[in-house]
Formats: sequence, structure tokens, C-alpha cells
Amino acid sequence: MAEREFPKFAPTHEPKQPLMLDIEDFNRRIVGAYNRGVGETELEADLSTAESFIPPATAKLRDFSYIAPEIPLYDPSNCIGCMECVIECPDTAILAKVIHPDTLERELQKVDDPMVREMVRARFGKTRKYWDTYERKEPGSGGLFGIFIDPTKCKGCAECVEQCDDFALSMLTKTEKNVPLFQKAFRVFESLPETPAEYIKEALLTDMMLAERSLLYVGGAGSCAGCGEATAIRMMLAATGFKYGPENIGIVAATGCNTVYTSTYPYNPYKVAWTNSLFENAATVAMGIRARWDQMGWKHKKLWVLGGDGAMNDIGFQALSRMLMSGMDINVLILDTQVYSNTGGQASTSSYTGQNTKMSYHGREIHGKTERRKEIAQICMMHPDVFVAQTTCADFNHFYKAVLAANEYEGPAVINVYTTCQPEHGVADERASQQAKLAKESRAFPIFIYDPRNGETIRERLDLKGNPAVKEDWYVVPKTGEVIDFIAFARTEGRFAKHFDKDGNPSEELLKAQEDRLKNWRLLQELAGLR
Amino acid sequence: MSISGVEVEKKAVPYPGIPTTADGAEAVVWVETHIGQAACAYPITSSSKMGEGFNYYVANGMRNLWGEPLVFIEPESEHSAASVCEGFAVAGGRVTTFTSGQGLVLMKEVLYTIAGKGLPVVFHIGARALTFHSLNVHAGHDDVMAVADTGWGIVFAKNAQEAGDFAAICRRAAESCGRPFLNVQDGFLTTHTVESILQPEPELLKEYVGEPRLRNLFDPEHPLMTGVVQNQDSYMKGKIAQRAIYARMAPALREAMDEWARLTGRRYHFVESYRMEDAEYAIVGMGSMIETAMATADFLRDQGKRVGVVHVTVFRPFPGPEIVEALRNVKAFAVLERMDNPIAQSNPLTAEIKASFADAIAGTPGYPQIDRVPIVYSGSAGLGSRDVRPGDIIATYEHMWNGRERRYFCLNVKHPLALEPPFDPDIRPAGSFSMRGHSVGGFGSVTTNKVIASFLGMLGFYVQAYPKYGSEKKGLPTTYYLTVANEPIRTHCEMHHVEFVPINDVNAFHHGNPLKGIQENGMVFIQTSKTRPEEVWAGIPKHAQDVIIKKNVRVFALDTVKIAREVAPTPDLEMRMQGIVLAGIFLRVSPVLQHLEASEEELFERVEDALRKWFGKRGEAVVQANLQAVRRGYEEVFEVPRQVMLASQNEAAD
Amino acid sequence: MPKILDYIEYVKTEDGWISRKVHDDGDFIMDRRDPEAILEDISYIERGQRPPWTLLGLPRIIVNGKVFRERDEI
Ligand SMILES: Cc1ncc(C[n+]2csc(CCOP(=O)(O)OP(=O)(O)O)c2C)c(N)n1
Ligand code: SF4
Ligand code: SF4
Ligand code: SF4
Repeated sequence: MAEREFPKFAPTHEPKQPLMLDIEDFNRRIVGAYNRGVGETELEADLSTAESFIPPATAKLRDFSYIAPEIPLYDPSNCIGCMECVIECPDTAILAKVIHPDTLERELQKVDDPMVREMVRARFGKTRKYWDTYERKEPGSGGLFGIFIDPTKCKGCAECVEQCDDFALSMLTKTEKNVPLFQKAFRVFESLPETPAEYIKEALLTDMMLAERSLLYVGGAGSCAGCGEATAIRMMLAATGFKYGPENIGIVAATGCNTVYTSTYPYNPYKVAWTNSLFENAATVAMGIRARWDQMGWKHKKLWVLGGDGAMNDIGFQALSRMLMSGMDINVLILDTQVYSNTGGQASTSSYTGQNTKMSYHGREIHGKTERRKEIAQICMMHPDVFVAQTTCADFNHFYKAVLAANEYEGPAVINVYTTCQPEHGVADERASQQAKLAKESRAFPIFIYDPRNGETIRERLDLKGNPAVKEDWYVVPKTGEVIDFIAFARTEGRFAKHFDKDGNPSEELLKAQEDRLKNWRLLQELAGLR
Repeated sequence: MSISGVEVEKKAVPYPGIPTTADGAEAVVWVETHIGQAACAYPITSSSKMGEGFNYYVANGMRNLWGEPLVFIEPESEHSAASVCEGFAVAGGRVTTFTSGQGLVLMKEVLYTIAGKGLPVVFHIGARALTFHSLNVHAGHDDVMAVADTGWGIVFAKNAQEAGDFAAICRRAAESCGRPFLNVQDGFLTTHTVESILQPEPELLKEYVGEPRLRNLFDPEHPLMTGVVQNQDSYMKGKIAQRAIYARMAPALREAMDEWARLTGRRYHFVESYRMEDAEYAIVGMGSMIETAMATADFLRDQGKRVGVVHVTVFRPFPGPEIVEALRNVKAFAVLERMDNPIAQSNPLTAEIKASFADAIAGTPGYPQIDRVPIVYSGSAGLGSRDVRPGDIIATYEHMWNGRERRYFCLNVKHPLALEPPFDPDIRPAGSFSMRGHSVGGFGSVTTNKVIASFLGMLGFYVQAYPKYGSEKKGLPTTYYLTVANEPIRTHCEMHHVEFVPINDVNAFHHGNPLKGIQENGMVFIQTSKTRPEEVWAGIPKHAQDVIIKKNVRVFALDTVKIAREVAPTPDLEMRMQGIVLAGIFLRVSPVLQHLEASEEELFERVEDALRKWFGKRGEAVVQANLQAVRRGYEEVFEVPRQVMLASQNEAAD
Repeated sequence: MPKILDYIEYVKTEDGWISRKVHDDGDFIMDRRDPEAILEDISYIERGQRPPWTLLGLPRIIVNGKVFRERDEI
């Protein structure tokens, strides 16, 4: 076996032990072999595989162009530049830029193919947000807004289409002819300069993903099409990166879906430092890192722990609780799929009553999960001086605010985020944010922010803003009079399907689940001083 | 000064060591607080002592040799302690933990990830029996064996000196080969036994281990992904590729041992052969009982028996060829192990040694060429700190030289598989003076014992001191042991021969026999508020009086509690002062003064020096109070005259 | 289930040109809302060219009920 010489990996200081990783070689030789489909057979068991570290963003080189049958088609004339499609895409496959027309023309000069030039030019349009408001203030200052799809990253989930209320996106069948065009256009898009700062309004959180420092998750991960977790991770990184920059972020991930789709050799979608140890110890590994960072004077760097409800509510609960008592500046993002998604969907303590999952199957005798759901966010609140938020990606402003506050908060912070898991919830690929929204509205998953800085009492600290009809039991849609209760939510998801008879009447167990959700909601109302 | 059981090269070396007394736990903490950056530990007997020790220095603002403040974290479990260590090490820090028994097996999952990521940490283990049919807090090796295949180097110390030295050696080796090490010592038997040691000088540690310069795998400015997922395409490649890295472990450890020998004169080997030159029979094993076996081998050699001992210091990487080389010429050897797994091929060390011989005789490259395999016996001994005595070692040799058929046996329990010791000699160094104290839990007897040991150590004697720990709490009778000698003390067994028995527990005569093993012309001290010899004598039960008279034992008495109360500058020091008073009594009754060939005046000058070294920082008043306590113990202790004893006997006879 | 685009439609009505995106065999229709943009598209169509925004994707285009461009036809 050949022992190659490994060039040094720019370390903080020269370590005694060399890092056996050469980024250029990794991207060329190793990722190259995998991309050609010969990684398994051709690559040697050499020293670079011994510890199997992966450099950042290798998943950028992964090509999913031919896995999905459809791809979004963008119609700039309907687009208002709201950025919601960009925010919600789990795979960083749909991106936006704002560009001054002169810059655009100058850049297009560099493109040889007149058709490609035309194609790219036609993607940019004049929106009120980036054109009119600027032009009104100062003629000649407006920017053109354009959306581009990266066919190598798009999994065709149609989440973006579902998210676009302005009918600017449709799903288009891929053909041998149109896919290369998407690829060409995206290459030009990438060569265009970054959106200038004057077009990014800091106050407008939705604009954060215009900045490159927010795009720290490059896609190319092996998650299911439309996965709600991936969106949550991207959004957390966007808010953190926008404020602090990638050079100040590290992630400790607990084993679960998130580690499997983001770290399967040799594809790494992250541009930030990342480590995984085990299923149950992410919070305590983070304590070690934080201790060392603080010892080195790296107090300003942001450390995030990622893990599913299994990792945080269940097997890693004691480690999480311990970390919360450390007072250390560590943030936790709980990806609450209400199930052990990674291992194929077994019940966790976060699963809902009645939920049909593996290990709490809905059978003839027993009808799904019989216990109540454990509310991890509320439990975290009872640890002294811990910032806690519960949120969903559909409520992007709420989500972003929670992340920004968690980062500002000098101490432990926990954000429990509802993450749709298509296969285990029994919902369609494009439903991630719609189901999350419904979960919130139906009290299945109320959102809140608990900020210990806001006062002495729980009611001062706990803010239920963002939930519809906060003072009521259930939310009633004004136009239709429809009551959005837990049953209404359950009706839309396969995991509860067996609880409805052929006429659509809910089972006894589901009524119990509804009672559980109402009790939980009333408890929150009481804690927030609304009852 | 040579040191117990450790080969010391007789030449001038840059760092000969600082003579002192310490137990194995303290020896490790000394090294770690100097060279380390952090410790994350969770309490479990017997390793807690190390975590507490490290924390004590952190709480007092100690900095390491490079001026960095130390970090200590106590998480909520050993799984988390190991995880915090992983995090600290991933971010490029030098870190340690201390654990035992259940704690070590609870860490197991994390041990693999630490090794796999190439984090060169060192964990210190007070080896402890695992909870099986019952819980036991004492020494056993099944915990270490349970994690023996997690990719960590494993080094076994057999005394406090080695435990401390190996802390440094493992660190250097780990950081040079990029893989972690376990530094193992026997729980209580080594962790809590105070011995005379040569403490590594801070300058030595600074030069030898060097500034922490570890690769930072979690530097956001140079982001990296570690701990990834791999499938059929790559997992096995990664695992097999690690062979090349593990190939560096043995050379790294060898280099670390060589360099240590060059700097300190203390020479360690992967396999330590003791009196093996022409040995026909050998005992093989790991940890403290093997030092007892070494002392016993000396005794047997004096009787003309050709016996030797082999200590397997390094269990991982397993030194198969060296072991074969060491044992190839004997007729038979017996492997003693502190665990038992009845359904394995053999207990683990035996199995690996047998496999090494199989490789050797099969001509496997790298192994010595042999044409016969000695008879291999295997014994279980010392489980949960069950005593392993010279008599048990002799029984083992006897079993071998009688060519007994039974290849497996156990020691020191009543069982058909057990070997019966033919006799149990006193193999302490000539002129040893041993004390067994009887006290009550919570009375500070552990401290008393340590105070006396440190004292004697400072006066230039070899000491060994330890309490007998049960798992019981306050208020129950406890005993503590101390031996002082002019030579290293290498036996790690319970003391059956004592010259001096101080009794602090008024009930000692009622719930046991405090005079057990007392030697002819021995001495007893009784803590009492009585001031007249007659009264003191009258307080001793008849059966004990008979022994005292028959063995010509001298009886001393004093109210140390009262003295302590009078001299202690603050009430919290009273308990400790009682110990100091007893130290004075010890100086009076033991042959220390003769050994020192000093006058009383000189003795007290040296005592004062010692006290100043120790308490100097707390101010002159404390030094003087202590000196007064020693003096009063020395001067005021009174003896029950022989006539008083005999008079009462005569009365009784009348 | 995701709505799949069938074609882009331009229709001249009494009130002028309208344009729609027809999905799922006509089950789902998206109106295009920017009259200026539609007129610009028509100017291309009148010149016999694909509206530029459809160059990327090359969807089928139907103008007043007649296929103007097939899918993938430039
Ligand atoms: C000690 C241990 N037990 C079980 C597993 C198997 N396992 C890996 S991930 C996982 C479930 C993860 O569930 P969750 O934390 O909710 O994350 P999700 O996959 O849903 O995102 C399980 C059971 C493991 N890796 N380690
Ligand atoms: S279809 Fe899905 S993956 Fe593709 S761009 Fe839209 S949201 Fe992203
Ligand atoms: S969601 Fe629709 S309107 Fe908003 S930016 Fe995306 S395409 Fe434009
Ligand atoms: S199983 Fe669920 S959580 Fe896992 S990748 Fe798929 S959608 Fe995401």
C-alpha cells in the first residue's frame, strides 16, 4: 500500500500529528471516483481513508440531475421576489440574486452562446421590492431579481412551487434537451457577482439567503425529496452565517437522519466545521468543544448541536439536560420529526398519541401509540436560564428570530423545530411547510419563544405570538368557519389514516390525542398568562 | 534512592525524581495537572480520588506548565465524561478522565469513536471488578478487558510509581502515534496505597511531554467533517487503512519508554522479566499482585527454587513475541488474572499468550522460533481485591513444580479448584515495622495514616500505607495499615504480621481481634481518657490481656483527643491533629529513632523541617501547633508497666 | 401531488392578450399577472420566436389553441 505524502492542512498551529487530508486531492481523486461510480472499486484503502475526514462542501460536486422526473420552471413575470422558495428548499437547489442591469449586461458579455445569454437575461425581472422602491428613491439604482434552479441539486420535491403564492413556479417534466440548459444557466448564475449589500435589507430576515455567507449548506445531501429537517438546518445556518460568518460556526450532530444524509462518504454539504460522535452524546461532545474554545478565547464562535427528537428527548436526554445546566454558550436545534426517522420510523416519546409508527403499530388490538407526547421544549424551559423556542420552518420569520436570539443569548439555548418527514408522516414531497403550518394552527405543535431575559415570571418570558387565535382553544378559519383542531390536522396525514372510518369519523384514540393537544395548548396559555 | 519494583538505571540522569510519598491516584493527578489542559470526570470508586484531586487544583487556580488555567467538568455520567473529552480533544485540547468498573464499560461506545478519530487522549483507570452477581468497588481487571479491543493502547502499572510515570509515558506515546491510551492501575490496591515514590520533576514533564500542540479537527476557520457515515464502498477501507496507523503505536510507546529511561533512569519494558534468567517456572500477570509475586520469587530463590516472574506491562499493543521470548525456556508458567470468564477459551491474558505461543511454534514471521511450548497454567486471583498473599504465590509455584494436571485454578477461596497455600511467610523487607490501626469510619483514620506515612517518607524511610476499605459508611469499624522499612516494600497484600496496633475504637476488642498477627515484643496503643496505667489495663478484656502477656507486648496509652483539642488552632483541625499526636506516639514506640541514628533533638529538628515543608504556607502558627502535637504525643504517651499487668494477673489467679 | 405543467397558453380575448400556465391536463391553472410581460412575449411570438423566459425549460406553447412550439422545440 502506498503511503503518500500529505500536504499540510492549514492548522492553527503546527500539530505533531499530521492531518491526512489534502482537500484538492480529495475533491479530484476521491469525489471524482465516486462521481464516476467507481469509488467503491477503484479507490485504495490508503491513509486518507483511515480517519475518513471530509473537507467542506464536497457535496457541491454531486450531481442529482437525473434522479427526479421534474424540475421547477420559473416565470419571472409573476415573481415578487419574496424569497420564500429559496428559504424553504431543502436542497439549496433554488437560489436568487439581485443584480444591477449594467452589471448583468457586462457579465453577459462573457457568455459566448447567444441563446444562453438570452436565457439568463430573461430570468431577471423587475420586482417592486428590488426595482421600484430603489428606482423611486434614486433612478438607476434598482436591481433585477432572478431565480435559478440548480438541476444538480434539485430533487423535484416541488416544495418551492407549493411555497410560491404568486404562481411564479411550476413543475416541468425534465427532458434530455432541457436539463443541459438548466445546467448551463446555473453555471452562468454562479459566475455572477454576489448580490450587492445595498439590496439586502438586514431587517428583512427573508433576504438573508441572498448573501453568500448565509448559504452554508450547499445541497447534494442524501435526504428524501422535500425533507423538512434539511430546510431547518439550512435556515439555522443562514441566520447564523449571515450574522457571524461561516468562520465562526461549528456543528455537533447527533446520529440520526441528519448525519446520514449529510455525512455519507464522501459527500459533505456543509461549509462549516462539523463532527458526529454517537446518537446520544452530541450535547456533551459540544460541552467539550465549548470548554476548549473558551479556553482558547474563542468565545465569539457559535456552536450548534443538531439532533432528532430521538437523540434529544430520549436516548440523549440526560446529556442534553446536563448541558443545559452547564450555562455554556451552546445552541441546540432539535429536528422534531416525532419519530425515529433514520431507523425507519419507530415511535419516540415525541410521537403523538394514536400515531401509527413502527414499534407502536396501529393494529387490530392496539391502535398506534397509547402514551402522550413528551414536550421537550417545555422541559427545557424548566432548566434555569435556558433560552427556548419552539417553531417551524413555515414560520420563517419566527424561526429566524429564534435562531438570532439563541445566538445572541449567552448561555444554553434550545430550538425545537417541527420537521416534516414525508415517508413517516405519510405526506407528499411538497408538503413540508404546509404540514408544519397546519401542525401549528391545529395546536399539534404550538410555536413560542421563551426568553429568560424578558423578566422574572414565566408569563413575561413566554411569548405565544405567531399562533392563530392565541386566546382560544382552536383556530377557526374566518372565511370558511372550519375549525382547525387536531383531528383536522390528523386527517391530512397518513400516520393517522387508520383512525378515520370510511365516513371520515375519528376514532376514540384520536379524540384522546386531540384532548392531549388541547391540554398541552391550555398549559401553554396558562404559562403565558393567557388563561 | 531506588524505588519499589521499578528497575532504576544506575547512572547520573538529568531528572532523578523528587522523593515523596503518594498513592497511585495522587501520582497520576500530579502529572495530569502539570501537563494537561482539562479533565472531565464522573465519580466512581476508586477513580473518584483522581477526579477530585484534579478538581482540587482547578478550584485553587492551578495552571499547567505552560501557564494555562485548567478546566474541570463533571458531567452526568461516564458516557458523557468520555464524550466531553472527545469534544475537547476534537477541538485540539489535551484532556483526560478517570474512571473504573461500570464507568469504563459505560464509556465503551465513546472509546471507539475517540480512537477512530485519532484523538490522542489518555484516560486513567482504577481497575475495578464489574457488577455481576453483586457489586464490588475493589480491584478487578474485567472492566479493562471489556474495553480491550476499542483501539486504545493499554498499559498496566503495578505500583504508584509506575502509575505516575505511565501517565507521562502514555501521553507522549499517544501524541506521537495519534492514538489514545488507557493507563491502568489496580483500584484501591494502587490508587489508594501511599508509597514512597520519585515524583517526576515539573521541568522533566515539560521537556518530555512537551507543550500541547494537537491537531484541531474542529476549527471553524478550517472547517472539516469528522465522524462520517460509510457504507460497503468505504467503511472497511477506512478500518483496514488504520492498520498502518496502529503499526506506529508500539514504536511510539517504545520510544517514550526509552526516552523516559534516558531522562529519569527508570527503565520500563513492554514485558518485564524478573529473575527469569534461569527460571524453570514463572508467574505471569498484570498489576499489583505481580509485584507481590516478585517479592515472593525472591523468597523462593533464597530457598533454591528456580522461579521468575513476568509482568505484562503493555497489554495493547499486545507484545506476543516478547512474551514468548521471556517464557520460552521455562517448563511451565502460570498466568494469574484478576477476573474469570469460565466460558471463554481461557481468561483473556492466558488466551493471548497461548495464541502467541501457537504463532511462534507455527513459525509465524516476527515470532521467536521455538520447538516446544511450556505447560500453561491459568489462575484467577484477587477478584474484587480478594487478598493475594505470598502463600498463594507459593501454592501456584508448587502446583507447577508438582506438575499437577489441572490447568485452571483459583487462589484464596474455599473451592475445589482452589490451591491451598503450604505456608504463608512474612516476606516484608528485613527490619520492617508494620502498624495496623483500628478506628471507626469518619474518625479521620485515613488521614492519620497518610500523615504518618508522609512524615516517615520525609524522614527518608520507605513506606506503604493504606486503609482497608469496605463499602460501608460512617460509624463502622475500619482498619488502616502502614509499613515502614529501609527497603522498598513490594507486597500488596493484607498485613498479617504487625508490630504496632494503635486502637482508636473503644469497641475494637469486642467486635474482632485487634491483636491478630501481633508479633512477639510488639506494641499496642490505646486511645483513652484514663490517666492511670492500672485503669488502662483494667479496660482490656481478659483474653486480650493473656495474649499481651504471652507475647510480651508493650501497652501504651494517651488521650490524643484531649491534646488535639488543646493544640488545634481551629476546631476543624482537631481530627487531623489527633493523627499528628499519633505520629508523635509512633515516633516514640517505633524503631525509627534507632534507624535514623539520630538524637531526639535531631529528630525534632527534622520533624519541624518536614512540618514546615508541609504546612509552611498556612503560616508559622500552624507549623508550631503541629510540632507541639507531635511533641506532646512523643513525650506524654505513657506505658502500662509490666508489673501492673502481672499484678492484675496474679490478682485474678488469687 | 405536484402539479405538472402541460403548456403555456396565450389567448387573445376582447380585453387583450391573456396568458396562463396549464397543469395536470387542465386541472390546475395559473394565471400570469403581468400584462406588460405578456405583451412582450407576444411581440416575440409575432416574430415567430419563443418568449425568452421559456428558453430555459422549453415548455410547449399554445397560442390561441394552436401549438406554437412543441416541448423542447427552440
Ligand atoms: C446507542 C444507539 N442506539 C440506537 C441507534 C440506532 N439509531 C440511529 S439513529 C436512530 C434514530 C434517530 O432518531 P431521531 O433522533 O429522532 O432523528 P431522526 O432520524 O428522526 O432525524 C436510531 C434509533 C444508535 N445509533 N445508537
Ligand atoms: S423542487 Fe424541491 S429541490 Fe427542487 S428547487 Fe424546488 S424545493 Fe428545491
Ligand atoms: S416564492 Fe415565488 S414569488 Fe417568491 S421569490 Fe420565489 S418565485 Fe418569486
Ligand atoms: S426519512 Fe424523514 S427526516 Fe429522514 S431524510 Fe427522509 S424526510 Fe428527512
